[in-house]
Amino acid sequence: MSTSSIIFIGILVVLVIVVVSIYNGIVSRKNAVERAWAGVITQERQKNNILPELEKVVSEHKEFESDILANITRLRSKLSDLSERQIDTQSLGEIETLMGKVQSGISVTVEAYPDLKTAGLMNNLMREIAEQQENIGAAIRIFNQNVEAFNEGIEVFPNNMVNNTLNKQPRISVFSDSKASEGFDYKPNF
Amino acid sequence: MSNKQIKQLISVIEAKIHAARSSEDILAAIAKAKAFRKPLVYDHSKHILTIIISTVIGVVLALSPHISFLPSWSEPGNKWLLYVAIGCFALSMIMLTIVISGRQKVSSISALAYKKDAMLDNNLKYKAPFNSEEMRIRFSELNRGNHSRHFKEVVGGEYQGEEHTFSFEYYHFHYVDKRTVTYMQGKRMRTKTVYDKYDRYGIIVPFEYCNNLQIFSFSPSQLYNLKLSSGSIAFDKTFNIRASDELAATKFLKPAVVVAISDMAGFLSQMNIEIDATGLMCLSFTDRNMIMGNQRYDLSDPAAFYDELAGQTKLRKLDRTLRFLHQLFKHSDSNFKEIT
Repeated sequence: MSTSSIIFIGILVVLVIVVVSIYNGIVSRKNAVERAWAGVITQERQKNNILPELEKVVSEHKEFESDILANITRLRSKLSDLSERQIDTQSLGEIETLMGKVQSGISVTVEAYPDLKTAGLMNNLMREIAEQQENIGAAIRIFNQNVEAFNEGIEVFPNNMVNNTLNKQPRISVFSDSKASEGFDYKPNF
Repeated sequence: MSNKQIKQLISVIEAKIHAARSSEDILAAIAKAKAFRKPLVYDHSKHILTIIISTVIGVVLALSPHISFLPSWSEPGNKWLLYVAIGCFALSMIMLTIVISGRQKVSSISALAYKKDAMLDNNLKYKAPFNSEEMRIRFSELNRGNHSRHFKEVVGGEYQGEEHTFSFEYYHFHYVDKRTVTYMQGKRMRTKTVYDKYDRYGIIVPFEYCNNLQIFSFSPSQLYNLKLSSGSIAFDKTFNIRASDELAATKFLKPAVVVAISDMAGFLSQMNIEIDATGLMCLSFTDRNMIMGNQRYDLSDPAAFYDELAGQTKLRKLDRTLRFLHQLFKHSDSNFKEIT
């Protein structure tokens, strides 16, 4: 075998290795995004553990406004719609908005009637809700970071060539808090 | 005041700082320097003048073969000129050592006063060093150094957070690796033994919520068999996770914990977390300034140093690290049990 043939085969082998590693990198980042999304859903579903208790406490105390109870019911129904398999940032946003309403409704009532806070269960529930929301926020941050890594992984050169030819994966949208972004006029132009 | 009197005053201040049991004792010691009404620095003008003169003479004599109007040390019978030059350089070095050691002494006493005051302000106390053999068995993080290992310092304290109060022990761990190096000397192959010295620092807290877990960015010597992923690409790039029980580790690694650890990695260098079989957590890193604070003045400006010590000394790095540990407690406990 001539030297030029050996060089040609060598280049071909290196090229195949590069393409395979890029292909696998895109697949593993996609899996990481899906796993992170499943993490968000798992954290969201943790709410199911406390919503019945919360419902009970709210219905037992007349101080709470009736729309808190209505929002809890809507929240339970929305939670059952979430799927671990399908990335649906819109539904997630709706759930977070509803949870925000429930949380602020409870806080306003507890501030107005401090005796409620002395009830052990109420106090524990509020702490649990705060921690759950912190975990959901963290899970969303992890999801967004993974999405960012995935999107970058399919857009940079030469990964974009491999993706367009073999993986054929579209960009994934990051989760953004639409309510928070309503607060300011600036809209990034990308 | 003469240098002799300054030396005596520094010795008195040093003894008082060593014996201090409260911030007031330290301030009383620094007040002695403040009453001096001048910077507590030695007058080294004579030493510096001697350094300049002897160095100039030494250089001129050493270069005498190249200076036409001077007798050259290279000529027969003039060798003594070279010895005088060497003597001048030696004198310069001795004087320089006196100047530097005098300044270092003032600086080291100031650092001691600051550290002791910071410890008293933050309710920290020196404790007996850990048994390095016992700790080596408990934590693979502390199973480092194939030649020697020991704890240089252990400081104990208590953190009172919103939800949890826990005691902690801060340590300074020193270890030495021994290796043999082969090198060529001329045409002969030679070997020599090299001792590499390292320091690591850490905080140990009792943590009942998890055990047998390693989260590390700076690999320890022994690892648990089970390799896990956090689900975060960014986290997994920095840290490796090893555990003996997948369920317990997954329960511990809630998203908020993963994010808190990721954020902390930007604050502490070569950070590792290890929880042993008995539920003792070791958070380790290479940052050496955790209980040193941010000292701005020293005894060379006694009035400013006094004012600095008179205020509450904040150990921001330690406080930030303890808040992080509190976060781990908060996310690992149950909100429907009695809070400890």
